[in-house]
Amino acid sequence: MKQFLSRITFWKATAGLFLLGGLVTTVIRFGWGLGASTNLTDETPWGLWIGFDVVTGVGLAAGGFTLAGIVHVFHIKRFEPVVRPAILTAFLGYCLVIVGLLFDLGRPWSIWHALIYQNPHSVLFEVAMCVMIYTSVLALEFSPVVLERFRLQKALKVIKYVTPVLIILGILLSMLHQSSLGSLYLIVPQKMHPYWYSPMLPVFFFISAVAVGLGMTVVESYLSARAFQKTLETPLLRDLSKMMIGVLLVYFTMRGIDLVRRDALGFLFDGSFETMMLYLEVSLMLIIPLILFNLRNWGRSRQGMFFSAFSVVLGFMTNRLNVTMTSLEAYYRENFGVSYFPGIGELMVTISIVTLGFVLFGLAVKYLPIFPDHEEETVLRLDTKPENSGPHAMHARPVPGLNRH
Amino acid sequence: MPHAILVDLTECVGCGACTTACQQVHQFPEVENPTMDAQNFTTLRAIETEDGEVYARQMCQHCQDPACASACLVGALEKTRDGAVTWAANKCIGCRYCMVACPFDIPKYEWASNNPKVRKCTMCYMERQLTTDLKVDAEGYVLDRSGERYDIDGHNVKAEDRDMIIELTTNADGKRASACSVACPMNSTMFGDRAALIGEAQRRIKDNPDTYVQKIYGLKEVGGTSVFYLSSVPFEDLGFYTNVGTENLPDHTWRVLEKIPDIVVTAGVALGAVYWITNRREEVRKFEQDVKNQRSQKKA
Amino acid sequence: MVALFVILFVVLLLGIDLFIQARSKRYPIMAAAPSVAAHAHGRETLRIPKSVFFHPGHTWARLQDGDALEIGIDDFVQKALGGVDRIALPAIGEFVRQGDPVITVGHGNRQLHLVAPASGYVRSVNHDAVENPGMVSENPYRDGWLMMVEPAELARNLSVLHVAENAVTWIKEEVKRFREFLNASAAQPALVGEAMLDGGVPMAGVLAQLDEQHVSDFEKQFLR
Repeated sequence: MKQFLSRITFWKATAGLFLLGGLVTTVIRFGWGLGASTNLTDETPWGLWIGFDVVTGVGLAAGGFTLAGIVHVFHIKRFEPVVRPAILTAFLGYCLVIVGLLFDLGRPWSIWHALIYQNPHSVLFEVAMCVMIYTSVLALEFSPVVLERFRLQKALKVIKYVTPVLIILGILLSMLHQSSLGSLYLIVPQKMHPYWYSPMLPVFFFISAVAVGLGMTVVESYLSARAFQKTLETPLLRDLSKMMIGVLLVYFTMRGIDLVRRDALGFLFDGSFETMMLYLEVSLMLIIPLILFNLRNWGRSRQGMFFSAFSVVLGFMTNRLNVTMTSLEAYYRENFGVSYFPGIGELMVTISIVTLGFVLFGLAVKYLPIFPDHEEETVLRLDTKPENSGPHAMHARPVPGLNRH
Repeated sequence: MPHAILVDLTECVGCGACTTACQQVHQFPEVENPTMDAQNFTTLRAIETEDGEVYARQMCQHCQDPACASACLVGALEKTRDGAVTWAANKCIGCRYCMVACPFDIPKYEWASNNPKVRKCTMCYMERQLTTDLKVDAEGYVLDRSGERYDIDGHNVKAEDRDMIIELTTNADGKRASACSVACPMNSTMFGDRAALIGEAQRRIKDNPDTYVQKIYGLKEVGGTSVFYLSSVPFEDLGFYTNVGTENLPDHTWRVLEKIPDIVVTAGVALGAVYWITNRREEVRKFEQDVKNQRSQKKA
Repeated sequence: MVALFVILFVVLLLGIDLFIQARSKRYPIMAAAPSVAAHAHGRETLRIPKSVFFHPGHTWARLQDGDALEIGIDDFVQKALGGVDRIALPAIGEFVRQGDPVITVGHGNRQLHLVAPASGYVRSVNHDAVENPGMVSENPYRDGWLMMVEPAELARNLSVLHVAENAVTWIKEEVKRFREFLNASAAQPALVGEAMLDGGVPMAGVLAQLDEQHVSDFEKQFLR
């Protein structure tokens, strides 16, 4: 508890600093436009806000549909305790993606135009529709948590009744837009590095989203355990890690075959920056987790599972940023002689959005029945000083489990 | 009748009349030797070659199947029947996917603005429709036929600017054309019927094989465009985008998008079936458990 | 470059976090002052979760998804021992019977054998807790669980166990009994003077001050 307090104060101060920077940038962004607040240019129109906040963010929120599917469609009820934190992450994640998008759009007030001026030939239109509908579906999937908290039985019944439909709808929508974030880049075959441009991009995006959805659940669970003493059982986490590794093996097998078929392997030893980034991606997403997972003590311990899942999350980020940024760097350099690096304001906004995610997640875990150990407990005080009845005095004071921190 | 532009670089003397006319017709500040940005839709780069200086003009290619129009989620970018690719200010939400998608990196953005617009060459599409018989409202703005203010890329036209715009987009024969082609003193930039211009280009390279490289840039690129170039030096040497391929770029995304209905139906049915089967299994298990419990209770 | 930067940044944050964690564990003096809430869960309190089944031998079991039992030791015995610094558990697959002493925990020069609260096959053990026994002292009912058992005769086992209000009453009785046990052992000079002056006995770590005989008595009287 003591250690926890010191840690929280450090991080609180840091978070406050970032949020302040984010706030200042927000003022600049909406007061003076994108040019004043970002390093975006005509040559590099998409930067960190699209690459990380949107493309990576949506992927990191994939645990919601993955676990909802495992538990409610495949009826593997063992994983039931994982569903709520996963759906919470997904819901918060999508809300924050939309916040990030509002920063990045040049005319955010016209975002609703996607509803009336529809271009079915646009991948982005499909992504926009799916993200919009899926965020609503997530709100409904998440609503039982809130309804339970306020004991609204009737509404709960209605939601429970439509849950299977919601879950299946959610999976379909996720399949579509998770993959479509990859399809976005299909239209620029000549601009991207062959490592990352592939006609299979949508499939790769979907499969890696499933893997990172599982990974994120393990990571969250570990962090919540540290911060709130609320967590999931180790065997459950181990099974999630196993599934994650399985999906990753499928993913990298497919990517390997794809690289061979497109003759992109020739670059593997050219020592270029792109090659290094590919190595980093594969190491973080596959090799390190595999090694950690198979180490005797580490693979079974909570720490080991956390670090292997965290490595997958890092690798996933690398992959998404490689597709959205690294793969285009050479093109920008050769055609315009420019390279993009996010400005301090862009960084601040992105960090603020992530911080906001942490804060909201923390608040939700604290005040809503998210993790299964929301149990009450009695705390018995053993007074060393006798009160009235001699040396054996003591009194019981019931304390709800929530007040533990 | 779709229009197109043919630029014969061998005729170009690099006078810059096209870039100036472009700035004038859009009422942009006049800059010499401009680079492509939100206030310059065409550029002229002087390039030293073995045959002396060549002036490489660049502008929107007005693709037959434009990647930008396919990318735009609200359909703000549109390939008109006229041949021009236009942009609708009232639809755009500012996502800039068009800028990413464009194989020629043409669309530019008003980064300094709080209500930014995507700007690019529109082959003077709206300028060419502007006529003297259009009405003017009380505040002095030209109205279109439906009574709305005449809109060129989100800007309204003042009555006093109308004649200037019409003059800049009317050539010697009295036909309406893009400002750059009207301004070109060497007739290096030609505006006209697409098929006729292709024929002219083919005739030129066939008749003068020693002058021209045997290629009409823009004819096959990204499945065909509406702006063609002829040159005496290879286009690679002039910094043209020569690796854009000959396939319609929107096909790459459409191949995936067109599968969506099938995917939704197949996956929906499959998920429904899995749900039904596993749910049923669960019910059966519960039922058997109940029966077992009842039996053991009876025994007891 | 952006990708590399983002990854390095995240790794840096993780590194800082791990550093702070490690430092605050090594030098608790650097940590902030304990709050009131922390005190409520300090050494002189006992936690009794509502959904946990207590064996009279001060071990607990919790039902998991209907087909598994989580097992651990309770706050009472953990406090009396003054914390846990080593744990020995049965092997995975082994059958444990309710009431058989199968769990061994130790602190300093004291070692206690605790019984299984229910019968069944050991499905998994908490390697984390075995490697880092501090987890048991921190929260014996959550991260400090010890093993997962596949129950064999759950219905019969449950009748022996205390739960909810029942458990609270029972623990109160146990504390009372423990005080009496300590008073009876008060002939020992170590305990006189330190604790008896104010009439109560600080429970935490008190076992360390008893001699072997009394610890053995404690095991017989409280842990069976």
